[in-house]
Amino acid sequence: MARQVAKLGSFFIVGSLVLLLGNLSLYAQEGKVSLEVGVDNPRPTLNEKVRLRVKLSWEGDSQRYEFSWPEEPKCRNLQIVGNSVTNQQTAKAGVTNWVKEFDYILKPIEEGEGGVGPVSLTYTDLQTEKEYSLKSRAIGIEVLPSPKEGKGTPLLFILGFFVVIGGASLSALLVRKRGKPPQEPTEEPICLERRKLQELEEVRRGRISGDFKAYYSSIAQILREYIEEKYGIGTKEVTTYDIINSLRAQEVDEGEVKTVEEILAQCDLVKFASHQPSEEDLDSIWLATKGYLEKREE
Amino acid sequence: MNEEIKALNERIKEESSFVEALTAEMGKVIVGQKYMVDRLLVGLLSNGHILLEGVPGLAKTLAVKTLSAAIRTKFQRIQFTPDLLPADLIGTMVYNQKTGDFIPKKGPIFANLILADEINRAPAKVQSALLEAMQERQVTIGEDTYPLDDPFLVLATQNPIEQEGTYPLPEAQVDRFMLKLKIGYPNKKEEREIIERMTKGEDPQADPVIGPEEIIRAREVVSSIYVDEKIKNYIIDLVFATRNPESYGLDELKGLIEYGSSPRASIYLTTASRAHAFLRRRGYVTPEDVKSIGMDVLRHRIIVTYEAEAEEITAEDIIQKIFNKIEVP
Repeated sequence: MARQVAKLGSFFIVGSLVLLLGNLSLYAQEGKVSLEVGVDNPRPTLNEKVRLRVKLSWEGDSQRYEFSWPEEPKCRNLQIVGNSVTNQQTAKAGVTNWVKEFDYILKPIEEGEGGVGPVSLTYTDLQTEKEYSLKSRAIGIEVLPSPKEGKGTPLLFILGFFVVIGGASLSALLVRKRGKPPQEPTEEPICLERRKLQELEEVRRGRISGDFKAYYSSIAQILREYIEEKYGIGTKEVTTYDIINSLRAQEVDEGEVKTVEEILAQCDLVKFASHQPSEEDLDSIWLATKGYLEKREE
Repeated sequence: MNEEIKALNERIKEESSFVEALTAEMGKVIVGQKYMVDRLLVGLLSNGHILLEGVPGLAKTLAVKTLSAAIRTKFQRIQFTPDLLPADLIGTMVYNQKTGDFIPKKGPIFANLILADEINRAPAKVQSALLEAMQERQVTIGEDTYPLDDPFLVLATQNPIEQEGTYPLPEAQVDRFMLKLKIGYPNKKEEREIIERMTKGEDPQADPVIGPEEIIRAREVVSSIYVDEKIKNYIIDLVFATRNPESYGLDELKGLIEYGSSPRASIYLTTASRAHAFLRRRGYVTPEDVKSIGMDVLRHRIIVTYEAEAEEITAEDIIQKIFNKIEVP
């Protein structure tokens, strides 16, 4: 028993260390540009995923620096299974701050030592025409055995077992008392594109009302919400011009940007120029938006 | 497209043909400063006076002089100094020895384009005389009132540094300027071009490309540009957010604004947005026009509190927060 208590103690110590190191960040800074690299969990189990964040931030004019974006980080005993890029812009006391964040999802390969190599980046300050380079330190990661394969936590397993049994008995008791069978959630999560396509379908049904301004506004809103969710660009407080600029800044495919620009420009024309669309126009804008979402769904 | 707006778009295409010629002519003399040139045209097209602020040597005066050279209008430059008197500006009654009468001698304000250079160097009574003329577009000398020429546009410059011995414009008088522009430094490429162009020993000159009639005609077109209800509501929301920020979920701005923008802000925001749309060859205003011109219309119409000053929060920071919060239609 004493041994089990000692093991439990060591588990809590390790757990606390993981929590403390969870937001571990390694900085590299040169002038007003800084590179921050961190992982959310430096001691993952074999069946857990690790999020690696490479955050580049700078202040002032967005055009001031020319960056050579960091290459994919070199990983040891970890495999990159997904990545994304987000851009953010904030202003404080008249100074604009720019953040570009590269997110990587890493999957452990086998139990043991692993890590992420140093991330390096070079950039040129176009005002002074000087070139700088930033390099982060390497991050060590320890891959632990997955709980199922683990040998060391029988007490936890027993505790868990009792909690599950207790919970099941309690819910059975409650169900008997209410006399209703338990309802399990049956809804499967649907992808963003599908959700927006469903909303688009709703808009088409509402077209009969004849309020074409509302019709175009709804289509524009669906598209703006889609862009907001997919690319992390705030679209409520910005204009069509701002959205297009943000998409270009994120290096989204030019064909896609052009399609979004055309759809939103058509919507703006109806919303702000009291343009009276024909039946064909109404169909065409709807089909263009549908086509765009379907293409992204593929 | 709505037939009226379609026709308006056509008319804009015809009437705005001078814009390219004018900017090209200005480009012969002014290197870069696209923002300043663009805003000067907005002021010219929407009949609004402009205050230019920037450190010395940024071509503020040169830009105004070049604009006047590119337009066939009467131009006057008035250097504001501490010993300037209102009569030096608007004119006075002089004694005619031959007839024994007092006759009016009109001052330099009787011109189409006025460059009030370093406006904050003249005392309040001179500033007041100029600003009254700007608002009323007429001047009284002796017992008679004389209307000022049309177009009548005042472009004033002021230096944000060296506040010693200056007379800062009171808020109520700054409010009469439609736009307040903050002029920045050129970039490296532009600076190189400036060296090449300005050190040849021969200063480049702009030639007149349009006359006052064309400006007046263009102004008529600008005033007919369509502004949708949604845009009007957006403008109202922006202006009201400067007065009651907490009603728009901007609680953090409560206590930072002493006085919000006056209704003049709504008027100028609408007219300046129309001119901006005209320069983009559009017969209707979009939120983009409002946002582009918004900072220049609002930055001198918000008075920040001492708390804001202590925290080094400027009117521009506040406006930026408002733009980031108010939903675009």
